[in-house]
Amino acid sequence: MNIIKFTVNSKEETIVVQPNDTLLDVLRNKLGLTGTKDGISLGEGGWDTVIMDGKVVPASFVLAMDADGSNIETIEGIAAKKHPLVKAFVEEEHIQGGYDIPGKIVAAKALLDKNPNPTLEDVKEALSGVLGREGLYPKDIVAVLKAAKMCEKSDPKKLEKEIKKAEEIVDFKIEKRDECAYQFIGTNILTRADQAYPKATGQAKYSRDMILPNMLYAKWLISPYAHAVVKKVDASKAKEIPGVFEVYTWEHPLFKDLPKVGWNNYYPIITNQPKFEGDEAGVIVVAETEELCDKALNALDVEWEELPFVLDPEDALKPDAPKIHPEINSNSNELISDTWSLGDIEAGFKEADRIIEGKIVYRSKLHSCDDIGTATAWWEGDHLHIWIKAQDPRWREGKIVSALGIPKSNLHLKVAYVGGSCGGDLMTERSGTRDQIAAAIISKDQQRPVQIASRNRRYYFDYHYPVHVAYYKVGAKNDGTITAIHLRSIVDNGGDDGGGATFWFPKGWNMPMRYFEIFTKIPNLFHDQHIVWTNKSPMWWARCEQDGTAWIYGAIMNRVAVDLNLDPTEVTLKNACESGVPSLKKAIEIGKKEIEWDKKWHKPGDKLLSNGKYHGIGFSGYWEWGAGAHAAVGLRVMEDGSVSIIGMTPDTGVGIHPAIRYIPAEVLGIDPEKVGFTAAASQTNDVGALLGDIGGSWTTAADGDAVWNACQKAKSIIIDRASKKMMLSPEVLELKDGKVFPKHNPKEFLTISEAIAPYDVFVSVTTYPMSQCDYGPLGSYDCAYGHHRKRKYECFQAHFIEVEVDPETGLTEIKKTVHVHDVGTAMYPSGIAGQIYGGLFMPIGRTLFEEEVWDPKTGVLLTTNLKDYKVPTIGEVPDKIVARVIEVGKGPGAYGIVGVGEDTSTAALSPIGNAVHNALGIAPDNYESPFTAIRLLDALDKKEVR
Amino acid sequence: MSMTVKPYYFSDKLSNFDYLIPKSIEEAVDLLQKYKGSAKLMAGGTNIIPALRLKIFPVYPEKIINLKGIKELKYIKEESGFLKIGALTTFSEILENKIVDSTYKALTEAALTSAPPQHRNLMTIGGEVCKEPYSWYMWNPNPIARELISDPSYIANEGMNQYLSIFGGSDMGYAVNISNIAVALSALNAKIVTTQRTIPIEEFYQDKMGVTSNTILAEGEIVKEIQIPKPDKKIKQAFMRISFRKFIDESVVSSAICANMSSDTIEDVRIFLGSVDPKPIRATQAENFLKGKKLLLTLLKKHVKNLFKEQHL
Repeated sequence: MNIIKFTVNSKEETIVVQPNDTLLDVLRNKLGLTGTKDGISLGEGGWDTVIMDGKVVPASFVLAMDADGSNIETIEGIAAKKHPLVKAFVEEEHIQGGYDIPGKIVAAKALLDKNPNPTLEDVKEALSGVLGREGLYPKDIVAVLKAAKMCEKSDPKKLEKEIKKAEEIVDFKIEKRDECAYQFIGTNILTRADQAYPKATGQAKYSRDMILPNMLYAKWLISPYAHAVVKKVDASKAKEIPGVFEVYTWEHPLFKDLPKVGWNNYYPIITNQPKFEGDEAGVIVVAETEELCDKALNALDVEWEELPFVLDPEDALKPDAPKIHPEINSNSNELISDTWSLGDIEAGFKEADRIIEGKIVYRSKLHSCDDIGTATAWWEGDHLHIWIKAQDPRWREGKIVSALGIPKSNLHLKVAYVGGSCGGDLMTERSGTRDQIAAAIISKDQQRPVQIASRNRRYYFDYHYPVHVAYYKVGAKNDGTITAIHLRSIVDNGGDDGGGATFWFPKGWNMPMRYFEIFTKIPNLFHDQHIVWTNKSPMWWARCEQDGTAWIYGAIMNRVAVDLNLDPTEVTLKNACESGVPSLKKAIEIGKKEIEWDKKWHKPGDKLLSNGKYHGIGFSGYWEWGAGAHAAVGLRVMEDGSVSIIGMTPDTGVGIHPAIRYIPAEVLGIDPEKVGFTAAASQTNDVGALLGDIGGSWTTAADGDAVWNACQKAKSIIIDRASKKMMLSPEVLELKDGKVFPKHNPKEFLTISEAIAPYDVFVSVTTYPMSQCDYGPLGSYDCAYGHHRKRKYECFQAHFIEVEVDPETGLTEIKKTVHVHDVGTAMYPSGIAGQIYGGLFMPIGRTLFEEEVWDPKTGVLLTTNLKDYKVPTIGEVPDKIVARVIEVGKGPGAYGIVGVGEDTSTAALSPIGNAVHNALGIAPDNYESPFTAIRLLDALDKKEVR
Repeated sequence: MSMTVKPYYFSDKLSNFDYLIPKSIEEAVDLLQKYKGSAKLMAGGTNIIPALRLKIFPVYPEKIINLKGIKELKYIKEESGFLKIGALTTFSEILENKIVDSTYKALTEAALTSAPPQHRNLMTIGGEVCKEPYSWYMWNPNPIARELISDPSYIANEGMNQYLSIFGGSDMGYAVNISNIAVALSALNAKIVTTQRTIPIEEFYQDKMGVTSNTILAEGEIVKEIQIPKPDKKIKQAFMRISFRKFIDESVVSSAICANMSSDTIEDVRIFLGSVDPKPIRATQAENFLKGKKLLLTLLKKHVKNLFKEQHL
C-alpha cells in the first residue's frame, strides 16, 4: 500500500494511492477538486495545469506517488486566496464556456509569482500551453496584465503600457441606428460576472465533473476497423473480474429491441456494425471504476469480420464502392441525390460574356471544443435524472423517452455547465443521445448512478465538418453581373446518421447553392447535389457546419471578380439580393476604410514585400442567415416587482442571458438587475413552465421574441390588476418606468409591485419558428422560411483580412482582420464582441492548419491529438482585429435582432482564402482547403513550372 | 475474413505497473538488468506517461523505474573545457542557468521552443535525448496504425505527410526525431555520457530501431550526463525552427548551426536538421559549400535551394 502525504491548497492530505494514479486522478476523484480538468492524452490541452512546489505542471503527467511531500496549488486554492487573477478574468467580461479558464489562471499565477511585471509576450508564453477553442486569447492577455497591476510589488506604469498594447489588439465599436432608442438595450449595464465567477474559481461543474456517490462507470468497446461486424463476443473472462458488474452487448435483452436514433432515425442505439474506426462496437462494460472498465474490455474475446471501406466521398459514389448502409440503400452510398433549379440555366449561360469553371475542395475539420460531454444517469423510482452537456436539452427528450418507454413527465434532464459548445452540443443526435439512453438503462438495471466514460468523443464523435467538393460553372457579364451558376456538389455525411448534411430539408440542404439562392439575385441556378455515406466519423452541425459552403460561395465570387479584373466588393454588391443592399453597402464602406482597401488591394500575386513574403488581402460578403428556432418561455412578475424569466437556454457564457434580461426591463421599465434568467432543466414539472427549443445562433432572437411577447401579456395583466385597485378602466392606464398611472395624471401612480401584490403574475409564451410568421415589434419578418430574397430588410456583413504568405515555407500569417456586422439591433455589446473576435480563431485554424487525416490503407484516423489536430493557440493572435457593429437592416427577432453566434467563424474563412489567392495569384481551385504550407508550396511550384 | 484482435478502447487512465525508485545509478542499472524487457525508465515523465496512456509499447511495461531518486544527476557545471549537464536537469533549470544563457544560445532557444512551461518544468535533458521518435502512426491509440509504420507507401504524397517532412525512409518508416535539443546538441558537438561509455551525439542515434527507441543504448545502459565543448569566442551559434503554430507544435523542420567565424568568413561549420529523419541529420553539402566563404545574405539566397539537395536520398 502506498500512502502519500502532501499539501493541497494549504491543507495537509494523506491518501492511499496506486502507482498508476496520476495527480489529476487524486485531485479530481479522491479530493473532489474538479476545477482542474482533464488534460487529454498528450497533455496538449493544458486544462490540467496545477502548481507543484511553485512550478506549473500538467497534473495528468505527474504520478500521484511523485507528489508525496509536495505542495500543490490548484485553481480552488488560488481562488480561495482571492488572487486578483480571478477578479481580473471575471471583470474582463470575456469568459464563455470557461473550461479553459482555470488552467489559464493557474498558469498565469505561476508567471506573476516569478515575474510581477510581465510583458504582453511574457503572458503569451506563459499561457501558451493552455488551449481555448473559443478564441478569447486577446482578453486573456489583458486580464493577466490587469491582475499583475493589482498585485503588490508590481510596477503599474510599466504594466499600463503593456495593458494598452494588449487592449489595442481588439478594436470593437458599435455604430447605433439611434443613440436614444432604448434605455438598456445596447449597453453593458448587466455583466456576466454571476456566470463567470464559478468558472474562474473552478467551482462550476461540467458534465465530466458530476462524480456522484456510489457511481458506476460504463464504457464502450470501440472499433479498430473502419468498417466491420462484431461476430461474437465472449465476455466470460471479463465478468469474472471483481468489481466488473455486467457486460452488455447488442444482443442483451435490455438493448436488443430499442428504437433507432439519429437525425433520420436510421441508427440503432447499440450495434455490432461499426461504420468507422473509433465507432462504438456493440459492447458496454460496467464496473466500479474506470480502470476496471478498461480491464474488462481488455479481457473480452471479440471476433471481428473486417469489411471493405471507403473514405473519399467521390470514391464512395463509384458503382463498385463498398456499400455502407445496404439496409437503407443497397444500390449506392447516396443518402440523398437531388437536383434543384431556379430560372433557366442554359439561357443564363447564353447571356454571359464569360464562362468560368473550376472545382473547390474543402477537407474535413474537427469541432474540438474543450469540454467533452458525458452522461450521468440515476433513477428516483420511475423518475429518471440525467446530467448532460447540451445546448439543446429539448431536442433529446423525445428520443430518450421513446427508447425507454417512460412518459416525458418522468424525465429530468439536467444540463451541467457547458464548457464550450459552439453548437457542438446541439443535436448530437446519435452519440450524445445514445450515451444518455445507455446510461439510463444500465442505471436502472444496476440500481446505481452510472456515468459513461467516453474518451473517444473528441476525435470520433465530436462534430466533423463535412468534406465538400463543388464543381462550378459560372456565367458572367463583363461588368460583373452573374447570369447563371451551375453547381455539382458532393457532401460527405460520414458513416453515421448525424444530420449534418441533411438537416433543414428532407431532400438535402441544397448547400452551397442556398447561398446563391438566398443572398444573391442571380436569376438562373442549377444544383446537382449528392450527399454520401463514407466510413468516417459522423458529420454533424455546429459552429459552423457551413464553413465549406461559405468558402465555396466566397471563392466563386472572388474568382469571378479576379477573372473579370474587377473589385470583388463591387461584384458581391452588384449581385446581392435587393433587400440586403443597404446593409451590405454600409458594411463594405466601413470595412474598406478600416482595412485601407483602396490603398492595399492589388492585382493577385503582385505584391512581394521586402521581408520576402507575399502580401494578400481578401474580402467576402456574408449575412445573418439564422431564423428558424421556436421558443417557449415563462415569465413571472413577482409581487415585489422583480421578474424571473424561465427558459430553456443553458448558460454557455456567450451573453444570451443578459441580452434577454434587457427585454422585460425595457418593456416594463424596471431595473435589469431585478430581472433574472433561470435556465431550466428540461422538466416542465421542475419549473412549472412550458419549455421549447433553442437554436444555436438564433437563440437570442428566438428566446427574445418569446420573452417580448410574454412581456406584452404580463403588461396587460399588470394594468388589469392596477385598474381594479385604482378603480379606473384599463384603457385609461399606462405602464411606464415601472409605474402604472392614468394617462391624464402620471403623478397618481402605483408601482408594479403595488399593482399586483400580494400575488405574482405568471405568463407563458410558445412561439412557432419566427420565420413562418410576421413577428417581432420591429422584425417585420414577412416571408416564407429562409427566402431572404423576399424579405424587406436584411442584415449583411463584410469581412476583410490581410495576410502574408512566405513562399519559402508556405506558411501564412494573419496580420489584420476587419469584421463589419449588421446585427439589426445590438442587444449586448460585450457578448457580441466575444463572438466576433473569439469566433475568428476557428477559421484561422481551419484555413491554415487544422485538418483531419485518415490512413488510406486502413481507414484509421491519424490526427488523434491536439498536437496533430492543430487548433489555434495564443500564439496565433493577429496584430489587429477590428470589429464594427452596425444597425442598418432588421432581423427577425424582437427589436429586429439577428444572431451573431457563428457568423465570424463561418464567414472569415472566405476572406482568408481570398487573401491567399490575392497573395499568390493562384486561384483556390489549385489547392484544397485548408491552405496548409505543403498545398501552397505545391501550388507555387506548379506556377513556376508554368 | 474473421479475426480476433485485442479489444480497442480509449482511456486516459493508466494501467497498473510496479513503481521503482532507485537511490543510486548502480541500483537503477541493476533493476534495469533484472527486469530486462519488462521495465521502462522514467525521468520527467512527459514521454513515458503519454506513451503508457496510448499504449504505444508492444508490451505494456510491468515496472517503471523512476530515476528521480538519484539526486546527483541534477547539475549544470563548467569543467575541463566542457559544460556538463546532469541527465535529470530539467529544461526550466537549463533556461534559468546564466552560463547556458550567455554561451549556449542554440541550446536555450531549442529548449524554449520545445514545449510550454508546464512541460518544461518536468522535461529532463536525459529523457529528451532518449525520447521516442514521433509519427501519426506510432503515437496512434489504435494498434492497427502502429503496424504500418515501416511501410514505405506512406511517404509524403498528396499532402499526407505535411506535418512531418521526411528526407529519407528507414527501418522505422516515417517516425522522426522531434527533439529540438538533439539538433542543438548535435551542432554543438556534444557527447553523451552513459553508465558504460561516452558517445559523440552523432553516433548516439541509429536508423534501425528497437521496439520504439532508436538510440544505440544497450539494455541496462543509462544516460548520465551531456557534455558540450565550451565554444571559443569565434563560434557563432543559432537554432531555428519552423512550426505551423507558434507554440506547442513539434517542429516541421528545425536547424542548428555552429560556425567558427573569422570576421565574416566561415572557417568551419556544423549544420544539423531535425524533425525530418529518425535522427538529427548533418547537412554536409551545405557545410562544405559554406566553408571558407564570406557569410553574405545574397550568397545564401542564391544557393540555398541547392544546398540540401543531397539530403533527398
